[in-house]
Amino acid sequence: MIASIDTCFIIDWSKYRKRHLLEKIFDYVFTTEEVLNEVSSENTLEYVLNLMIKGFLVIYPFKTELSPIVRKALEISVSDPRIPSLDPPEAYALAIAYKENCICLTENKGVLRLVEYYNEFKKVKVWRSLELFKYLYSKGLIEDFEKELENYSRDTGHVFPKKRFS
Amino acid sequence: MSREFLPEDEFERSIRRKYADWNFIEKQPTKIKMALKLFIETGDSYKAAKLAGLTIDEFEEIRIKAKIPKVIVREN
Repeated sequence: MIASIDTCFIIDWSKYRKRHLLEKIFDYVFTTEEVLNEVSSENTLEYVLNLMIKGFLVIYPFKTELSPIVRKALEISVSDPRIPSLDPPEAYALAIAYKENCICLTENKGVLRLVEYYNEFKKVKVWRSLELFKYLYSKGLIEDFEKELENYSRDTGHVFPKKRFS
Repeated sequence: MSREFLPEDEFERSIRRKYADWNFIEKQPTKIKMALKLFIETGDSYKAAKLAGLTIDEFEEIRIKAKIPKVIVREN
């Protein structure tokens, strides 16, 4: 399985005590310079360096092919008031997932809404950390789902409230 | 065109507001303070980081110190 990864996701995941689990799920993960430009702390740099040395984190080699997809996604996001406007890191993560039919690891609301509302982007599978934890649990890579969400919350400052909307 | 906010957006914003350490936020230099407030209102780390003149990584460190959570709503 392959994924593209957004900036916030990799930064948050680098803080998680069981960050090695990402490598148990995916064969490799694509990223772009736009994402790496936002990495600056020692902890995240050390994590990114490690993943690059292993060949797990790969800079997407066909970036020029993404331009039409990125442009389309950005145009939609600035013109549709239901969608928070996208910025380059998440737009590229989305475009890679679209092009490569892989999973997009992001928690960006703009990406989630774009995929939800626009048929042409519906084929993109977007995973937030919640979906990643569900998958880890389904594969037996974590034993206690709720405890792991608590650990992740403690390590990264996330909260996972339950709420139903109509 | 102004953004349309859904009930889910309002719910997430209310949680960020509730948990934020407002004393910490108010003591920050103006740009950082405004960036933290932008994050509370929108949940958008990239725009907040750019407003503060920081990388997302740098901004994330400050967000955690300001106790502003990232909210991921779970369906019942």
